Amino acid sequence: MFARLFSASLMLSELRVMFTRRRTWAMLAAIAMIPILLATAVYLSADQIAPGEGPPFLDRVTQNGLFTGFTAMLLAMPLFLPLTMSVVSGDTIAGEAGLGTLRYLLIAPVGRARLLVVKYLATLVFALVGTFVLMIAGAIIGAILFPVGPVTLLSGDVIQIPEALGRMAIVALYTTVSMMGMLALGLFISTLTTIPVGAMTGVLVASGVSQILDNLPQLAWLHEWLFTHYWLDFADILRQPIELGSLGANVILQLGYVAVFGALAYGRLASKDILS
Amino acid sequence: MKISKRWAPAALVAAMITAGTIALPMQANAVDLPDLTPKQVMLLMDGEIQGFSGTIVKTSDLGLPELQLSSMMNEDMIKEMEEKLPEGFEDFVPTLIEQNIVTQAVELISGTHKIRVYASNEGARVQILDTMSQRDFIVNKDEFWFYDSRKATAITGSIDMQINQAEAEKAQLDAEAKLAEYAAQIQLDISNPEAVADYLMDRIGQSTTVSVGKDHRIAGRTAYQLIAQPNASNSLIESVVISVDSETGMALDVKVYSVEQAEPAFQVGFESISFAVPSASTFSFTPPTGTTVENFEAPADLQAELETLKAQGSDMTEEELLAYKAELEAKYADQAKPEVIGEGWESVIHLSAIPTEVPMSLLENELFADLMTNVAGGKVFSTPIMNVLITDSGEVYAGAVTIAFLQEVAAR
Repeated sequence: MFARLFSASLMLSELRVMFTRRRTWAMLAAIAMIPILLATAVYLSADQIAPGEGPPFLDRVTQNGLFTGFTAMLLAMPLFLPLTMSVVSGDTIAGEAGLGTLRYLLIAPVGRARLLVVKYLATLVFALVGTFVLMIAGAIIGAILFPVGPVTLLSGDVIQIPEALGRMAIVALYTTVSMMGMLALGLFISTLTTIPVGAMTGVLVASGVSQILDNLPQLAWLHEWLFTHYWLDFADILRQPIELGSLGANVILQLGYVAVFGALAYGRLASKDILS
Repeated sequence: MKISKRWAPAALVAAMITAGTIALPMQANAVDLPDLTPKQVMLLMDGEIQGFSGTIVKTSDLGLPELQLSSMMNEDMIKEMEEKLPEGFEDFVPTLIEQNIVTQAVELISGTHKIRVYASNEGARVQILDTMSQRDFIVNKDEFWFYDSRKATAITGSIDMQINQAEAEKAQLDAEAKLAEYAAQIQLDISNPEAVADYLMDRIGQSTTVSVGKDHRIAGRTAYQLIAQPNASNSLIESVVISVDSETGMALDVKVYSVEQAEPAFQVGFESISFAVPSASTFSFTPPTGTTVENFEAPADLQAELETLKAQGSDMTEEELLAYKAELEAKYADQAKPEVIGEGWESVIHLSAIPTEVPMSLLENELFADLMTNVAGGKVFSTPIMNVLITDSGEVYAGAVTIAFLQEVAAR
């Protein structure tokens, strides 16, 4: 069963294609620029940032460079990170169809389900690389411009640098998990069209709409079903003792989205005539 | 049109999710514990617990605007609010938000909060999990701490165990003596918990109907449900429902239902709980570098008065002490004293005048006008579980009773 759904050689070639594209590198560079710009701006501004001013954690950056990654993640979460994810996931099937290469892919002995699984996993790898790039770039630029030391958590407890690096990795993983549902949605939308830009826009709009709905108190019953609902709860990783409740809920929610839109994408791709 | 079997997985997933969301809550109710009477459930609640940790979720539906001021507002928003307020009230906003404990309390009462609690014989720690920030309250044997991560501030004070212990012991002995005296009067054997439960049930039974509801599962534990319904026609409270852990007797969830709405007006309960004793290190706190630490002090006036007392303490005669007491009383005499009218569920708190610190013009301010409704004889601040009536003559009546009953009491 697993062999029918996954192929290592196909996965490798997919990743090779993805990471030889200049677009991929440009997006990763742009992701890395978020913490760099943030830290530089804070470094160059003469004003002391008072606690509670500006976005959360911003005042911490000057005290401890390791916070740059967290603050940058917070800023990138609503729009920029979903934007890069929508480009990658919207392109999966629609991109091949748009270039006219989808039919050649399917002529090769590759099942349509297997193609979907491999395409999806490749987008997930991009999400993982992207979030780690953001955190690592944040840690490096923070260490260059600001003092680095033990990190103060939200509960007032202090952890040493190795544990802080561990928490940063967990935050990056949390964010990757947060993207799973959106990537699956992108994969599905990508099977609906042969125009990649259309699919990309569709995913991005969906993430925007979901975030707006999440802010309307009148729709409180809907909130825990929205794929963006737990996006900012990565702050729970910065509590002592670590709070994993939101991570667990997020994993279940995201897997639900993957199941639904994965199955829909299969239904669509497997039942349609591939003409391009 | 024939639907391709390729869509079968999609249909299957949809069916599984639907089934799951329906079946899970049903499973939560599929619990059957040995039947207990309300009295037995109350006896169960008498159990002793060495320590626990858990996550509490608190929601309230009071029809009030959500006041997540301290956690949601930033400087810009406060400035904007200042500009919008009428002249003379500019100072009102920042103080209201930054310092006022009342606003903090209101913010905690309204809306939804997630709170983690740790407790043992060593101390207690309460963490209010705000978005992107956290407030911690820590109490151990020597000191207490309040830490706000958003503002990076901490408030601390020491707990002088020696004084407290002596006082507590004395208070306990006093209370025990009084209780024994009272028990002798009503011929109650207080060493027998069953007799005490009987007595309590009897007393409660006069004003309240107590029953045991459905056994259920909550926070991963099996629980009894104790339901208290007021026997009072003017009460706003429909019922108070308490979930009692079947093993430890700890209250796991409390819901307050109003006669005005089907959803609970107020609910606080554990989402998860563990009865493992938390490690003692949870209750120690050292403020991180960069924190503004403030030492908690009693309000200045009182402090000054205590200081005077202490200075004079050694050679103060009884006469002087009485004179000083009279002086203090005179000082606070112009403050209206609250009195309670009626008893039980229908008790109403009456203030003969609005406290002098509150300027009357404030009540005409738009912000407050929005919260008040005009009724015959005054203005009403109304929530599903409590009403406050301010009469035209400036008297205040408040209680968990209907507006009509407040008006009736005011007219007496």
